Amino acid sequence: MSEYALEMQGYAFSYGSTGADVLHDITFALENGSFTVLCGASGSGKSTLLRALKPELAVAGTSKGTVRVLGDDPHLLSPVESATRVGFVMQDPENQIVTDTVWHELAFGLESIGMDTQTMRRRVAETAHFFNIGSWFDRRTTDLSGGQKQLLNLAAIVVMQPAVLVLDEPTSQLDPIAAKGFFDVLERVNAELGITVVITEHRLEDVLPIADRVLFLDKDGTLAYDGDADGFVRVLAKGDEGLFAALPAATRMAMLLERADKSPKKHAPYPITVREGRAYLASAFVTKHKRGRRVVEPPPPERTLPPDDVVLRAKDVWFRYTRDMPFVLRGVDFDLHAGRVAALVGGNGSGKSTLLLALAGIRRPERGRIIKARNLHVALMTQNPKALFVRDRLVDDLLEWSDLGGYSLSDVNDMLERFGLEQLRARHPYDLSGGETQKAALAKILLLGPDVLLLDEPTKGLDAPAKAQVGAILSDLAQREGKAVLLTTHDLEFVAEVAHTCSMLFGHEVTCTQDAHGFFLDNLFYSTPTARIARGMLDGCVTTADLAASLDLGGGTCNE
Amino acid sequence: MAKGLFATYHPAVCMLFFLAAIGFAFSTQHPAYVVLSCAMSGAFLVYLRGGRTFLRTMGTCVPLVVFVGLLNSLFNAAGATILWQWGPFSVCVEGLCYGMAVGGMLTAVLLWFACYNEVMSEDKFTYLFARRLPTVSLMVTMISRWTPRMVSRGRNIYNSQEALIGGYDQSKRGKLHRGVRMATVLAGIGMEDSIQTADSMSARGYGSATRTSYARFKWHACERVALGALGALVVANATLLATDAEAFTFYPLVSPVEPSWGYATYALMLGMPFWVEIERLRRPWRESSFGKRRRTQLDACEHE
Repeated sequence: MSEYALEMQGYAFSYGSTGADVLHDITFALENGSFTVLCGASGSGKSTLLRALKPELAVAGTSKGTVRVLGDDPHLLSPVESATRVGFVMQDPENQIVTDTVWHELAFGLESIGMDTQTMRRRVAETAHFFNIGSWFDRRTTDLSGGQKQLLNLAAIVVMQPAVLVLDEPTSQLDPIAAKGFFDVLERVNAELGITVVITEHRLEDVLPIADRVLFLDKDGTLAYDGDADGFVRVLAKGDEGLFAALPAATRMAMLLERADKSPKKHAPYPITVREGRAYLASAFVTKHKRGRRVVEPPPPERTLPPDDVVLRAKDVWFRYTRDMPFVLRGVDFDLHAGRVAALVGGNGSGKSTLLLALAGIRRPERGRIIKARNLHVALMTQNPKALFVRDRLVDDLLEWSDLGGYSLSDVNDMLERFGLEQLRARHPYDLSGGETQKAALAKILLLGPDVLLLDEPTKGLDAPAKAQVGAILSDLAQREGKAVLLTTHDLEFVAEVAHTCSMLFGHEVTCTQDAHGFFLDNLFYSTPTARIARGMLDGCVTTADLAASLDLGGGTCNE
Repeated sequence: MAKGLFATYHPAVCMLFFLAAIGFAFSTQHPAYVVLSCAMSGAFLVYLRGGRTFLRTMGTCVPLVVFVGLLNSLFNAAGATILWQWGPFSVCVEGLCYGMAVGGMLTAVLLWFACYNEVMSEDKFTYLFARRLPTVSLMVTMISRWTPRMVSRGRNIYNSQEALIGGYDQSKRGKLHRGVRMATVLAGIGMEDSIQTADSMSARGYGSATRTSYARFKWHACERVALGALGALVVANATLLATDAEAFTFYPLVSPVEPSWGYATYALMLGMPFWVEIERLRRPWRESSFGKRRRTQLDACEHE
């Protein structure tokens, strides 16, 4: 067996036979049992690179250079060997599931490679045990939660005992808690089974602490970095601002401190977790001040709430899907104001999406009512924005409702320009990336000229730059155009950066509505990582921007 | 999991039982057999799901019996004993009896199907065919995964377009147009989904070797005994029932119901879900030869 699980030498790839290379001269070798994160901006060719490791999934095109899996060319392996040596987990939890029951899904791969009954039973049993899915072994796959589905997908691959596990953004469709659970299991798979892991992921906060190797793909498809996490962070610190936002909050804070020349030691490793971040911040003050107590207490940044102008109100709304099911909403009171971005947070199944459906008038409350301003036009964007598109070209699609909305081609062009989508006007809507799809869907909705925008998880599956763009658009819509925006999300940092107010759904009702900044300052667990790092040391900081502001403000005090 | 030990038997045994029960129920209108079949299926359903489900099923069956009976007697005037005449219509006792028997037969079949649903879950059904027809059985499984997913996709698409353009146009034409649009989007998204599912299948070696199937059920001695007994009873019933049914006619006069051994074997066969419960009465410990041998060895040791 080769020393290396995966090797690539001078690998290059282009679509078709004449197209320009999307990947250039990729050379790396990953040791057996390593855990590697592959980073890069969207469109840098991460998925293409990963798929090249498994011939069954390889993207059609021309490749140069060599690929080795455990020392062998994957194209020369027998079909069974090829299927079992490299396991591949993809993004969407739903679409990877083939069969209707959990046990059958686990057995599917083994059935395909023609394994005998006795061995199959044993493999399925031990895998179900390892992944702790014994209790839902007999369930139907349709009834599982998103997190369970993705765990099942992972288990259904691990049951085939692969030497290498390749994962392409496996948690992008999961909420943070499910994602954390997934990473915990993945870490066990790596540590306890010794399976080599290669993963692309934009939740660096979760994945960097468990990775021992980082590969970084440049925008033009070259390997810009290959080494440990700390070195990767240093490379990014020098590089462009777009990926800065993707870094863990603790790392961003340390970089800011370093820039403000307040870092404790020049070459100390950057903190990644909240705990490391707190230690780093504490030591930054210890070195400057003997006692290391709280020194900076900047006033919370000025945040003015736009005037109180209610346009849509839910009053004592009770709702359930059928008579024999429990209530999903119990006496919800909720106001939506023009000119404000409001965020709705809460766990899975807390009724966020249902409240949006009720506000949009699609679901009629069983008790209570929705009151809206006269002639108010409410638009709802549901979780899967692909559902909005029917035509083959983006520009045709945006024109689809021109009769209804009374707009013309020039309005469409303006909208495309505003969202930076001019280049993509002739593209098929399904070929857009996650961020582009989200922006295109927003553009299509805005062309109808709604006064109220209800958005169900607009940040789902977006990487940091795309998220920042969507955030800027939403703020702009509320502040400049006076629209009322309500979004649901699991991304608390996004809420802290974009929303004016934040409401929490718990126990099927709105437990509190507060200005977003105050909401996160008061919360201990349900808060942004930055707030958790800075608590007790740099009060009033919820986002990295706050941190930067407070460092400038309190800079004098700190240096005395 | 359905109540009762019968549901724990190998799917092949359960399947054969239901095939026999439903097949025989369909094949005769002999009143004794119909009554037996109704009684046994009813008892089994009560045993599986309790009296409430049984009553609810009967709530639909009793009107059916009455309706079929009346309908038959109205339109079939072949009977000899006229009960009531009105113009061209005549109602005779024989027609009424025949109608009741047909209604009873349908009731029995419905009740057997209700029991079947409790005992034969979908995975048992597909398991039965997985070895013989691996592709077909996989297809059944995939469809059963695919259908609810498409329904939820459809709901999502409906919501998102009603939320945007539903308010503009509530006319019939608008609704029709949106329906067509929804179908188009569903087809597009469905294609996208299935490409990814196909990827996931080939990544897990689909088509790389001859498929085998995961065995969830095993053959034990009692299953073999049950299957043998069931087979013998089916053969016995087929002959006895055929003779009895031939001897019995509704028209022109309802023949008397003669006693026959067939009733006993029929009841025995349909009672299978109950007599497998004898298992419960057996003592939990059983002495077998391997225990004896060990004891003799121990005795021998002591003697030495």
